[in-house]
Amino acid sequence: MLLKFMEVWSYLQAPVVAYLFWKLAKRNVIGDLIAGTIIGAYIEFATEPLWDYHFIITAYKDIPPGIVLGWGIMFTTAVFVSEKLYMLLFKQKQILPYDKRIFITDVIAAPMVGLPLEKIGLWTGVWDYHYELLNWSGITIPVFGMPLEALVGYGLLMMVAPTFVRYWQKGFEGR
Amino acid sequence: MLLKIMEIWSYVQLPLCWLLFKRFARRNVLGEMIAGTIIGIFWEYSTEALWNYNFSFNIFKDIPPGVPLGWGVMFTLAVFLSEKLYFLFFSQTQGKPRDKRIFITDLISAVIIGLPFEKLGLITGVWTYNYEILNWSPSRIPVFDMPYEVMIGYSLLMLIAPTFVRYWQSSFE
Repeated sequence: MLLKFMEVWSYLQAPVVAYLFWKLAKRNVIGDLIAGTIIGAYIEFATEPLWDYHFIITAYKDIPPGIVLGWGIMFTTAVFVSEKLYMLLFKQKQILPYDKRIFITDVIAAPMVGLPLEKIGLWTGVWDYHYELLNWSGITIPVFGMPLEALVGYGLLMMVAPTFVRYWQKGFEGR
Repeated sequence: MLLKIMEIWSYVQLPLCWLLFKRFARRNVLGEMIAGTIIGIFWEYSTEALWNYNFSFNIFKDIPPGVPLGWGVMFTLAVFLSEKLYFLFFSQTQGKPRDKRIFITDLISAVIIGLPFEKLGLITGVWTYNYEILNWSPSRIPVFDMPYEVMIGYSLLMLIAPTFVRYWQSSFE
């Protein structure tokens, strides 16, 4: 039942998040969602053998479309949090172009946004890791109780991917 | 012996590529190489279980430093070629910011640059695919005789990564 609910939610979350951002932050995040979903398609295709998904509707092998869309939500939220942290920590009104300090807040936003989402997915049985293939160290992150490698992976991903989201967000909105 | 040469080459290719770009294209590609190497580190770390590397010096499990550095060279070449194709196809003299047509030339250059690199690494034994884990379809790309999934993977990567390289190249220099 919980898995069914999560599968339905995986499709609802994109319009709900877009609406909430529009209503509460007066921000159009359609471009962020599209850019994040493109990154999600790449990540899921490239790492498909390393995890199992348990939804009914799948697009490629066991990858459900809702998971790829979920990356859109993750990046939209992480980029938003990173931007707020940047403005707070570096006392700026907006992100300065080519300011490398954005890498710091992007990497901080990764565990703040990515790890709770990752944990929810594991708890609810939406996915599980292929530990025998991953051969991870066994070290877990305090509080989250998740493998350290998940944190490192999110950190590295957040070094690269937010640039794509920020650069193309307006372009994908047709602005 | 060939593997030893390839291991040495994996480190030599970086300064050589930089020098050749400087000499023949009058272009400093240090920023492209740094940005491409960062992408390479992310990529190799997250897909470590899917391939095996056969060099003697490694930094994380079986990943040699020369492989992420190789991504730096690959992206430098691919972004350069994509830019030239963009100028040629769309009759431009410089890239228009946020012109989505760049995705087309990025994808074409992924195939032109990425696949020969990938094939070379396989032939020389630098890396091997963990086919039993990947569970790829038997369909092969003509001429290159490589799995279709490699081309799709390169194409998806080239949708995303060049933006990072182009955006940060000047800043990393």
